[in-house]
Amino acid sequence: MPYTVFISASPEDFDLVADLTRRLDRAHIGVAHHEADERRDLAELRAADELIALVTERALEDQWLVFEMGAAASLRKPVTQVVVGMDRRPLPFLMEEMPHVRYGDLEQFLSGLSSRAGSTPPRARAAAG
Amino acid sequence: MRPVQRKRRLLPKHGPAYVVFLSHASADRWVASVLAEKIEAMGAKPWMDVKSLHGGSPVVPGILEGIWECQEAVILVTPMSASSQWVSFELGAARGLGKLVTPIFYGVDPAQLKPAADLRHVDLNELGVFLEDLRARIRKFRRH
Repeated sequence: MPYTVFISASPEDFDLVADLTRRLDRAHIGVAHHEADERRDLAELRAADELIALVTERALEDQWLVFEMGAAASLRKPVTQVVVGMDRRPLPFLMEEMPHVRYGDLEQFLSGLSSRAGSTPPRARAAAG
Repeated sequence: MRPVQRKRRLLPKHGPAYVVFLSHASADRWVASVLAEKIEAMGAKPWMDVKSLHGGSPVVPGILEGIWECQEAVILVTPMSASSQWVSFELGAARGLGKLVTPIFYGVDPAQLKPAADLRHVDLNELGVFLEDLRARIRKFRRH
């Protein structure tokens, strides 16, 4: 079974989810994500290897995002927040304490993720021709 | 995050403790402390983030330790806590592990805490029913 990342995001951030999904697909990493009415079912989250939470201004109001972060953390899965925007306000205390990267540093994070997943990072494949 | 080291605990006189994790907002700490006393009177050991964490420690690892250790969780949902990220996080942590979770609502429409909307919930003014059920669960736990 391929290494799988569960993406937690506000339903309104569908464009960011799509972008992250494309990047993970290129790295041959499996992706799981819930539509709005499925979020209570934790089966896919439990089956995933780690969780990425997309933190935006909209996501700060999303109870399910933090709920899913808690579920993944208690299951001892790596949890990483990808912070988009939010330049003018600090992260809430809980989010500040948990691992997070800026959207601008996403490629570097994904390179590390690819190593964890055991797959070849996209840049290495491009360099190899 | 650094890995959490589990501490050895001596068994209490009457067998292993039945731990109840109590999630609440800081603004509700008095109500939460009264709730903890009532839980303790039933024979359980309440775990509260205010009392149980040493000052200055990172909060998340300590909360996870409490969730891992507990037999069930109680979520105190009030106008102060319904929008708290900590409450949603603790609710997720407990449900992720399949722990029994009881939201106790006071002054809040249960629909306001969406990740708990499907759970059997208790109104704070009807706490006695929950406490009797808790006493029965503790007795069953100690028999095994």
